Amino acid sequence: MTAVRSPGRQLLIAVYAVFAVAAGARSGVQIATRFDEAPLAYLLSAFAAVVYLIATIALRWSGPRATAVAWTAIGIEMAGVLVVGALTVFDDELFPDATVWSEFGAGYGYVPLVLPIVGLWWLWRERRRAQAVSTTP
Amino acid sequence: MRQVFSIFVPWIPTLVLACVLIAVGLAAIAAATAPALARWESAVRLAMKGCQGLIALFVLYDVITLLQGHKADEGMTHAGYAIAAVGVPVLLLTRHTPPADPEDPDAEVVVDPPHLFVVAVAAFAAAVLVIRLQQTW
Repeated sequence: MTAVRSPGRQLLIAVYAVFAVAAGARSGVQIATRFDEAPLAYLLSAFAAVVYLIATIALRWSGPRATAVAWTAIGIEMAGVLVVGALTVFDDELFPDATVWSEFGAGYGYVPLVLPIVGLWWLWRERRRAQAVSTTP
Repeated sequence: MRQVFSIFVPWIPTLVLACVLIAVGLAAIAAATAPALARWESAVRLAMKGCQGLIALFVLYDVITLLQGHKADEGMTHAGYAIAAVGVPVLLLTRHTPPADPEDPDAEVVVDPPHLFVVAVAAFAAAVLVIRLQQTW
């Protein structure tokens, strides 16, 4: 595997890294100081932080394995933000405290909703580009 | 009147710093997207380095006020924002030298600086973190 540094990839990695830090720090403080208040919400934020971190690391590398990990992590992120977002919209008492993905990431300017869409689109575009290169005689 | 003034005054350096960071972020995007503004690149990178220095001074002053006995509303959260305000730009803008090619260990390893989009992400993230740091002061 080799590191690839196209501008689009750099931008995506930077935003994922910011969210890994933001979600990780938030859940870390919440788990350390008031875990009993909303354990599920705080563990969910910690899970989101791990997903962001895995996506960040996977996007830093190229190659089939790294790409597969990136697809999986960003797919889980997409499912997470949609499921948790829908659950918190329909039943706002489900989680006593907000998570990163609550209300489709409204607390973070809806970036958690937009980010996996951009990430999946970018991975799909890269795959198409790689296929076009491999089929060119 | 004096009470309103005393609440507003601590926000002045914060808002100035946040506005400068947002301006640097917008300038980075402009320099990256508009060929006519490409000559701004070195100035933008220098300005971002200056902003990182200002953030470090800002956090240092914050630490001094805490050591002098000020009690932040949420101590752990505040400490997290202080660390992140300094650490996130460093994390995003530091390029690690890749390992030397084992087949050609004497070859010169060139490390490109982070793309201007990454500089913009770092500037916007730092602006948010500086404001959150002041909110939790």
